[in-house]
Amino acid sequence: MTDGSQRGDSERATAPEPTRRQLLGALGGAAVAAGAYGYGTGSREAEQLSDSHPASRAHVEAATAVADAIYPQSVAVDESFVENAVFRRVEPTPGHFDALVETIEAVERHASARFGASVTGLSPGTRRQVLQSMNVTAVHAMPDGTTAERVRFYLLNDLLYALFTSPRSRPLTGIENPPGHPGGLAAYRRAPGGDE
Amino acid sequence: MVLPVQRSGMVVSSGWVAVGAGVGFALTIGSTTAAVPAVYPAAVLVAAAFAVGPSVTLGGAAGVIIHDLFRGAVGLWTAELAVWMLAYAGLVAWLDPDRTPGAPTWAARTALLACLVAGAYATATAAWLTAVLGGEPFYTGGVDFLPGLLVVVVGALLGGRLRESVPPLFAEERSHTPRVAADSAAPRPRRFDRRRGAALLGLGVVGVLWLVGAIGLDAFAHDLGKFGSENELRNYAGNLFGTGTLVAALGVSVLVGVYHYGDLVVRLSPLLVGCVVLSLRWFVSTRRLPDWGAVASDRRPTDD
Amino acid sequence: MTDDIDRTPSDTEVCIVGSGPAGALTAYSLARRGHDVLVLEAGERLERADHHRRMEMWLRPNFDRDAFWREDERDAFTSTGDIYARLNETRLKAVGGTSVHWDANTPRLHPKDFEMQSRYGLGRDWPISYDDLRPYYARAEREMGVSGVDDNPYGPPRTAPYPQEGFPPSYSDSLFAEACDSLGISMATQPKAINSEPYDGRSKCLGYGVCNACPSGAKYTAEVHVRKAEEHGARIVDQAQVLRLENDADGETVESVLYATPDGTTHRQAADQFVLACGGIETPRLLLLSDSSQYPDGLANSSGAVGRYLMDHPSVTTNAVLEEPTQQNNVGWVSSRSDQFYDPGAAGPGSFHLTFDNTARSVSGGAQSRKPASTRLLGAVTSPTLSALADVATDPLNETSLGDSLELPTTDGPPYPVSIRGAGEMLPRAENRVTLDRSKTDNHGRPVPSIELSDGAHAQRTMDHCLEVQADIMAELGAEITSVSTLSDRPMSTHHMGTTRMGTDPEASVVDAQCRTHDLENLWVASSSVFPTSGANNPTLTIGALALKTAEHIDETLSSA
Repeated sequence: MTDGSQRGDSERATAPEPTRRQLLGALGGAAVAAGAYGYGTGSREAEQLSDSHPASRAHVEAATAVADAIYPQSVAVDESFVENAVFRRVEPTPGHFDALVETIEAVERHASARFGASVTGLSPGTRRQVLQSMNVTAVHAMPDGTTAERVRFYLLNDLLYALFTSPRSRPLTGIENPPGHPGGLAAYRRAPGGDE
Repeated sequence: MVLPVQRSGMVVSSGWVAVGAGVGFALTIGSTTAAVPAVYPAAVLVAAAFAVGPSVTLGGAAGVIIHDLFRGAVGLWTAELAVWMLAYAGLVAWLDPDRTPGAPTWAARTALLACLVAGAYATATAAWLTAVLGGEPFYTGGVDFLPGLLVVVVGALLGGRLRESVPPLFAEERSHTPRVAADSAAPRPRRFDRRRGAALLGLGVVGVLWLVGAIGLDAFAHDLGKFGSENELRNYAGNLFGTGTLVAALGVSVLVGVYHYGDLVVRLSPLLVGCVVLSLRWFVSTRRLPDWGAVASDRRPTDD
Repeated sequence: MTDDIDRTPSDTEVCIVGSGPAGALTAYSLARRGHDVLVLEAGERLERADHHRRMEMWLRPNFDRDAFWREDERDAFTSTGDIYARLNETRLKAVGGTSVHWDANTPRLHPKDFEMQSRYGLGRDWPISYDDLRPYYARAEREMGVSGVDDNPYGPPRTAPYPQEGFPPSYSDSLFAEACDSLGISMATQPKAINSEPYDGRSKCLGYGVCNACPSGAKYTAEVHVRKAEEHGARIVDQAQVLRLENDADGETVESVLYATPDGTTHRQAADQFVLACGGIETPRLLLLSDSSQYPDGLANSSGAVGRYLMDHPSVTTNAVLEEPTQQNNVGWVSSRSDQFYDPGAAGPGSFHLTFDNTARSVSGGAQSRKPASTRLLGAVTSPTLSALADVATDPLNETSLGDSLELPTTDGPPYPVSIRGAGEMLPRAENRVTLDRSKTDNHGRPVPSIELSDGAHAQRTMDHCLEVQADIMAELGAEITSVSTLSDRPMSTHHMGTTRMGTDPEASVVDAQCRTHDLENLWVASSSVFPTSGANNPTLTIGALALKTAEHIDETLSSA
């Protein structure tokens, strides 16, 4: 490589290819090394929910974190609620849970790449930003669409389904025993202002 | 020894690549920590190309990629960002390859135009790639980069002014496909060329139409995609337009066309745009208007 | 689902086409009496878990709520009349038939419905009376597990107790009760085939609130009698699409049915007796498709009445809002009704009943769907207010808000929603009919049913009166009416009646008082298609009662053979 020569010099640099190749090789090598390092430190709990269920405890935690971000603060979220209402329900269509797991992982990877941590390590506001930066809030929910559309259809809408079929959604909907919840037959007879 | 100059060759400086990589890596870490959209550091690195050449953007793209690899989270967002940066800087360099410190700057108008033109194509390309690879639809990807375009425009104007005062820290290396040149001469001072500007404008119009048109068509097609079937759409259109008039028939046909083919048209749009650009180029060259090559460089071939 | 069962023909005494309440109750009734019964059902059999899936699909706007059973090519149809015949949105082909997604309302018809011609000079008389059917009504109520309270001053006469205690009135019923009382409009408990206590090995109602896709089993579906029939040795073959019936050379008996199975083969099934139980649209269609040299206008159609006199139930709804809470959507069914206007003193306006909704204002959707940016843009362009334009500028893609700004549809207020629905009778008219559209074919190349239906003057007058009554009630309640659904541009209801009607005259009817076809001695029909008049009440209990009665007649025929 020549030093900083003035324009107009009659001498030009010789043999540019090897230098550039070397440089790119160095970059590539560093990248591979960094990648290996990154993957090495990226391993997480892989405790499966059950033999047949594609989701693991880590997925449930991530989904709970997302639920915490998308539900209003007036709604309490805990891991067992998300686990039962989302992951342990009857699978609506074959392959739904596989896709749910896939979309959770897509969100995790995006969060890791662009926000520096897994969703469980981010604040609720930042988690919403993760979803917004993936454009999940700007697309229509499509089961067979792009990643953003699939995240909306599977992860987001499953969590919203869990919410609106649970009495936890009462602050939002005003309904004590919402459709989808086997809450018995007391609520429909009760005068308003009953237990909140 | 004379090294020939390709008319539209790209200038790459290993030093600036390395600097770009480092800055890119650092800025990406910064933006992830601060939860700032990554398009901003990317835009800064593209803007830097106006000051010190496209090498820094090449490095910046590498820096982004390395960062994501380091996190173990390489995804389509990585490719989208890298492609945007590379396409942007590459297009700017193609429009004028001599983005080197010490070289005369473009006039502000031309710089702005180059910014917007390159930005439109780069954004459309990145959005198209992400859509085709299944990351997110064209319209969301396209809209996301618009703030980045703004940053580049501002940065380009600044960077352009800086360029003359920045010392040439690293030597440039020419593109590695040497061609024989006739002779060399001292570089001529840059001046704003109306014809070049007009050609740039034409190119820009096509690019902006591509970007804006594809965003609009894609958003519309996705909205229409909510209808489960063509029949449902026809019912809705019937209610909207009424029946029996020419306007109604036209309206329904347009809606049904977009419903079925909107997505396909967006996917094929680069082909379409390529055809339009080539036709324009042919048109331009047969009318003795300045060729893109003249836009790229108005120097005569050099020799030593 | 059942893909591996044997779908080849077998020896049988009775071959029944269709496994809805009509077919299933007939099958059970005959199998219980020791007969060999085979049921051919075009649709699939659902498992218990499928009902949970269906419930989720029902509640989520991005799922097709009919994905489990809808096949538009197999079930293609044409709609030609004023009323859009949205056949496949309402008529379900599966084991259990349309009862898989019905609301389980089971009122009886009233005595006047059987004597329209004698009493009012309208429509025609049934060849049987309400009294003839009473014991079968009671039996059908026991079979289906109807819960109710005998508190209806204008209800049809009954002595048999309801098998189960009815559900108490809802809070919103109590709001209506005052208003109705002042107007002299009686309210009564709605009879329903939904368990108020554990019954017949099925759970009591758990309050899921999605009756159309009940996962608890508390709501009766004909799957109950399919299972019971099988326990008594009946064979039910699903995914067996009957293509046509074949009669003998004399045209006096049906010899066999031809049916197709998913693997593409067709089979011929013979039997001693045949029962068509495919509902008010498919039953006449199958007869028309089974034309032969003896029956050029369609099997059993020497009267020309097959497919004619189609009736449905026109309905209207008045939606309103109140300043006080109305507690909607805590349960999915109707708890109160009124038959105050069922038995008009003279001929017209006609009969209608009222039901008081517990599910005013749907709460499905919300943030699950993103409203299209295009429609918002269109709105801003057509009516450009400052806020609309600002909306579009700051948020061009109409992004959905999450977190504290999350939107879910709500019944919260003020104002709070209430609504009253009314359904009434339609007179039988020959021009309302099911024919064959030979320009369109189904998945086996057979002409699809063409449905022509329009409201006549009687139906319109009746429902106009109904709307007036609803408006009066809302006014008395102090509720502000927000919207009214009328008969104009209405779609076809879920009840399809009259297309193979009962009668004593073989030249004006298709089946006799026993629901045996006049033309063929071993062909019977169990369906709402046999109703000569529609009445103004949900038909399924009557379908069940008639099926049980017809099964007895078939049993007598088989035993005497």
